[in-house]
Amino acid sequence: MKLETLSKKTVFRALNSDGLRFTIGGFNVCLSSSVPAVAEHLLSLYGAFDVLDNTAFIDFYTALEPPSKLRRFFRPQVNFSFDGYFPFKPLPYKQASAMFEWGLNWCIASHSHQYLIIHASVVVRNRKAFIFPGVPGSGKSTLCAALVSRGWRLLSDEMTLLSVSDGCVYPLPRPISLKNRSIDVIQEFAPDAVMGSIVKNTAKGSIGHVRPPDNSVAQYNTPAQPAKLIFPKYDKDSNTVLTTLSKSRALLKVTENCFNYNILGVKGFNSLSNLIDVSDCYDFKYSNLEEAVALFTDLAH
Amino acid sequence: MNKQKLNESAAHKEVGVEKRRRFIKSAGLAAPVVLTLSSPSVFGAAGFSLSQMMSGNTSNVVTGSCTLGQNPSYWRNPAYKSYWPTSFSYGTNGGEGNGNGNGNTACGNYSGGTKFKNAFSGNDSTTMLSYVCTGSTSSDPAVKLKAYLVAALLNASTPNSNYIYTAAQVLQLQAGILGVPPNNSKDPAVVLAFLKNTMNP
Amino acid sequence: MFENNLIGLPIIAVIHCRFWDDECVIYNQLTGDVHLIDGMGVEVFKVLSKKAASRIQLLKNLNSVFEWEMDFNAEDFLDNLINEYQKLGLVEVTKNTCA
Repeated sequence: MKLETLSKKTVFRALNSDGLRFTIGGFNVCLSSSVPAVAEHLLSLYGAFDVLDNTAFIDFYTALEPPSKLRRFFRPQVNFSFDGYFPFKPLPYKQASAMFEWGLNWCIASHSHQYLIIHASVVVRNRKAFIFPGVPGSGKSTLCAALVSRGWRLLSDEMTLLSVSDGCVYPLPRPISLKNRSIDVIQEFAPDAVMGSIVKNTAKGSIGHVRPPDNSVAQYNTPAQPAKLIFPKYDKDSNTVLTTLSKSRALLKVTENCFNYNILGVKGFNSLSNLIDVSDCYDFKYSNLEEAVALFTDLAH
Repeated sequence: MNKQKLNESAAHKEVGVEKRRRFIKSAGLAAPVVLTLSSPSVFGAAGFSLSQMMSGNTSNVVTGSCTLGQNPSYWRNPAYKSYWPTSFSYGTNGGEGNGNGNGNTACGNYSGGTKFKNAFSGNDSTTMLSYVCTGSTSSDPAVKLKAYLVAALLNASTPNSNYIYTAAQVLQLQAGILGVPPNNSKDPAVVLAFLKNTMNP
Repeated sequence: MFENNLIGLPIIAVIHCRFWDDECVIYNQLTGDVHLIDGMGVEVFKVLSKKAASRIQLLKNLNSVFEWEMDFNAEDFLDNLINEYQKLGLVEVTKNTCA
C-alpha cells in the first residue's frame, strides 16, 4: 500500500501515536512526530513509498519532537532521535522536515556498513550507473535533479550505497535536496517537478526537496552496475568540460567523499578499487544544465 | 603462399623489436609519494562526522560537548575561503586553476594571505594558506604539523565553534607550552597525530 | 646501503597495491593511509608486490623500463626511494640470507 493512499488524518494519527512505518530503499523506518510540517512533507514527497504494518521489522525507530513543552512556544525547536538517542542539537521548529532528511542520512550512514557509502548522487540510464561524488556546493544534487527530470532513474541523491559483497549500487531513491539558487534553477528547468515546502534560514541557507519519480521508487529493489564516476563542479563562468581523470587520482578523490571508509578498512579500499576498475573516471565542470544533460545522455549510449 | 610469407615476416619483425624504454626526466622524480590521504580520525569512527557536516548541525555525539574541526583539505579549498575567520586572510587569486578539478592546484594560485608568523610565534613568512594547501601531504613532518596547526587555529577561531581547543590553546601548542593527551606530550609527531584526530576525515 | 639486503612488502600482509596505467595506489592497513605513487616507485612496487627483491634486481628492472638523463644517479635515487617507503611502513628491508 502506498503512503499516498492514506488520508491525511490517518497519516497524522499514525505519526502522533505508534509511528508511521514505511520503506525507504532497502530500509524500514518508523517515524513518530507531532509536528504538522513533517506530515505534510511525507504526504508531498513520500507518496509513492510503501507503508508497512505493525508486524514489519524496523531498521530505524525515529522521532521528531520539540525538546520540551516550553520549546513548542518560546523560540520553538525540534529534535531528531534514533532509538531514543539524540545525535544532533535541536534545530528551529520550522526546519523539522529538513531535519528528518538529515536525521535519516545520519541513521543510514552510521548503521549500514554492508555498503561502502559515498557522499554522491547516483542515477541510471541504459542500466549504467553514473556516480557524482561531491562536497556541498559542487552541484551534484542540481545535476541529479536535472537528469532525473529528463527520464534518468534516480538511485540516490545524497548517498551512494556500494555493496561490499557484489559491487553493485543499491537504490535509496529519496527526495532530492536542493539549496538556495539551485531551487530556482530546477524550478525553471523542470517546472513539472514536485517540490516540497522551502525551509529557510538553515545552516546551509534555504533547502527544498524534489519528489523522487514514482518509477524510481518502485525500483527500490533493483541495483545497478557502476559505469561512470564523475566529479562535478558548478562554475557559472565555465563551459561544459568533461576531462578524463586518472583512476589512481579518482580513487583518492572518491575516498575523501566516503562516510564509512575508515570503518571498513581494507574491505573499503578493495570496494573502491573495484569500483574504479569498472568505471570511467572524469572531472566535470559546467554552468549549463541542458548541455550537461545532453552530454551525459550521450555518454550513456 | 604470399600470405604465409607476410605472416612470417611480421612475426620476425615482432620478435626483433624491443619494448621501448620510457624516458624519465630527473625533474619528474622529486617525490617518492605524489599524494597521501591520511587515515580518518578515531573520533569519526562511527561514520557520522560527514553526516554532521551535511546537516550543517553540530552535535553532541562524541563524549563531551566538543565537535570535530575541519582538516587542511577543507581549509585550502577556495570554495570555502569565505569561511576563514575574519582575522585571517586566505589571499587573492592570481589566475585560474588548470581545470583538472584538483583543489590543490586552485589554492596554489592564491597569494598574499596571512603569514604564519602573524598568527603564530616565530619568524616563518610562509602563508597559512600555503601550509594547508600542500603541507598536509608533505614528507617533512615539521611542515605537516604546521598545516594541521593552521587548520586547528582556523577551527578554534571560527565563530560559535565547538572545537576541542581555543585559539589561545592552539598558539600554546605551537609554541611548545601546551602538550597533548594522554601524557601532555610535546613531541611533534604525537601532537600531529592528536590534531588529526580532532578533525573530520 | 641495501647491498646485501632483500627489499619486500611487510611480511604481515598489510600493504595492498592497485595499479592503473603509470600510477599505483597503496593502502596501508595498519595506518589506514592511502598513497598515490607514480614514476619509478610504481615499477618498484610492481616487482615487490610479486616477491621480495635485492637492490640489484630492482635496479635492473628499473633500467629495463626507464632511460634517464646522463647525470642521473639511479642507485642513489633508488636508495632514497626505499628509505622513504620504509619510513611510511610500505616496505621492509631484511638481510639476504641466500648464498
